[in-house]
Amino acid sequence: MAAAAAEATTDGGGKMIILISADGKRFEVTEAVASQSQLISNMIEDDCTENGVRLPNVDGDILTMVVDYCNMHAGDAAAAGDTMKASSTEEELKKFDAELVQALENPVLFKLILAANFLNIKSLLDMTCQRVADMMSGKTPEQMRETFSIENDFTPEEEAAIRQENAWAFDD
Amino acid sequence: MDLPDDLVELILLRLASTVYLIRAASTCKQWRRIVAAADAGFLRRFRSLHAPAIAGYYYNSEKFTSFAPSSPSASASAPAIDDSHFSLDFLQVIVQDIVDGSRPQSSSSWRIMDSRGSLLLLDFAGSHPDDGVRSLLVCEPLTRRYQWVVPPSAGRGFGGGGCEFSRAYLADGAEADEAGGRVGMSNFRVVYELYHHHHGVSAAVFTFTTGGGAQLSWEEKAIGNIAGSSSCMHVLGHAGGSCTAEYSASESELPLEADNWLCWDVMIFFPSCFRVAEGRDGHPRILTVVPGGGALKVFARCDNGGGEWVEEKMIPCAAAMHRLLGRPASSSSLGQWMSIVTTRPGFAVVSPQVREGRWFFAVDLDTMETPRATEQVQTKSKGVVGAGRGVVGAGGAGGVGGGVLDGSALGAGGVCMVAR
Repeated sequence: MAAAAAEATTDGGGKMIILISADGKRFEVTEAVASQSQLISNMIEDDCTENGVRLPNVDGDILTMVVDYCNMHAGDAAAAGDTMKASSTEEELKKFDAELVQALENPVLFKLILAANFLNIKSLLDMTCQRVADMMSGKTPEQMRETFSIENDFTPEEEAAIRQENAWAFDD
Repeated sequence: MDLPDDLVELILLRLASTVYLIRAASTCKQWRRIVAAADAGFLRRFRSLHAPAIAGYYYNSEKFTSFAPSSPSASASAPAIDDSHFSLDFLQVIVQDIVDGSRPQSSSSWRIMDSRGSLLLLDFAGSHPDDGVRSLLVCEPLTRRYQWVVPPSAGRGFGGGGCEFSRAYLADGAEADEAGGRVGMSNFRVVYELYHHHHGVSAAVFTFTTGGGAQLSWEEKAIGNIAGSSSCMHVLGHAGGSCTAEYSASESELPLEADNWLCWDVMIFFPSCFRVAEGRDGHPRILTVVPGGGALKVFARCDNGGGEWVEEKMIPCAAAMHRLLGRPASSSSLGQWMSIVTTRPGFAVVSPQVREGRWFFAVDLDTMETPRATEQVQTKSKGVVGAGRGVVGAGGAGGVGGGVLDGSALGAGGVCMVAR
């Protein structure tokens, strides 16, 4: 089955690759889509994607998002020669990206960061890290802990000292 | 948050403001460890990505030295910092403690001479009735730290006798500190500009660095004799904040209205109505207000800063002035209605001379942008007028440190700007 898929081609051209998530879900994508992941791109170069690419630390639901993201952005890359089409997709892409990260709850967002890092998809990693940084803006340390489920492991004395040292940064 | 350090770092590097960085570093030990890494690599990277913006202005007035925020409003990327943190009230205690025999003085006795990085250079007028080469104070308002700069023979006589002390400047330290900072309480230089009767001009450089122990040093160098021109020539300012202190004289012709001029590494002598600014490329620029006052002319040296001075660009300011004043600025009734108040690397602060009071706005020398009055803070928070560097690694064990304000130099107008 996998072997048959690997031989298949799409009208966009290029071989198909099977990605297999930690929980066994299979995703069929073109080489162009998959090679946005530097990790997979390297594997394609080394010719070791024949039997599907197992991604033991990426869950199926996260991989669904990653594949959606890559599909969306690979379309953009393929259309790069067509300026009219490219400019229209640029707006769509921004909208897609914004909706993708804004809809996510924190644990999922972090899993997506880990996946983007593991698969080495720079644009996705940039975008997800920026989203977390944006969520931290305007928050007090307490609010940051609450938002990201961070345990306060400072002693009261340590925390007081930190606050004292940087008092000007803690106005609400 | 279960992310490894390298990914947390990627996130923290994207924070919009140093204020949020300091707060983030106060949430848990992992984040603090990343920000306050022993090799200071994180802070160095953070600085390289974030240009600070201006929080407000310090200015000398007849009654007191004040701080005025650039705008009371906060924006998403640059949170407002309580004005009280910029107060210079703490200086009163310093006077009581240190200046012997002096009674506590109000802040009116302090005059701002210069600023750079997070630092202000202040002159305490009350304790020095004479005009000798006197001690100056370098302080960091946000962290309320200070350091006296004491000439080896404070008072008369320093510099070989018979010299007059005219001004002093703050310059970057000799080398970047471990956090990549060029200027901070542990790393700065003060350049005294000394005029000797019959012997030209010299610069005395006070260098202060810490790192394994405080190091202070004094060095005085002649920076040339200005033959027959001492009455009409004076030091306009300094550029090249690295202040390499090689005062080799090199004369050139400048295609300006001036007859001649002299240039040393950090100081440029020139008839007044010109100001010296430092470009973001580190090379000096000369600025002048176009007669009539509607624009700034910028001169740069060709050959990558080593050749002759040529006009680099003209930056129109009339529209910005119009927005600021709410009406067209007239040159007919006000004469030259714009003056250059101060310069900092990459930008100049100009002030229209109008009846309504004092206004200041920054002109970016690279992008040629002038902020709109109503968007002043927003424009600045983008780092358009970013001058120095953000976080200053403060002392203390693993301390992230305060001191994000960035100052700007000030001229006779005594205005300085502070960024956050």
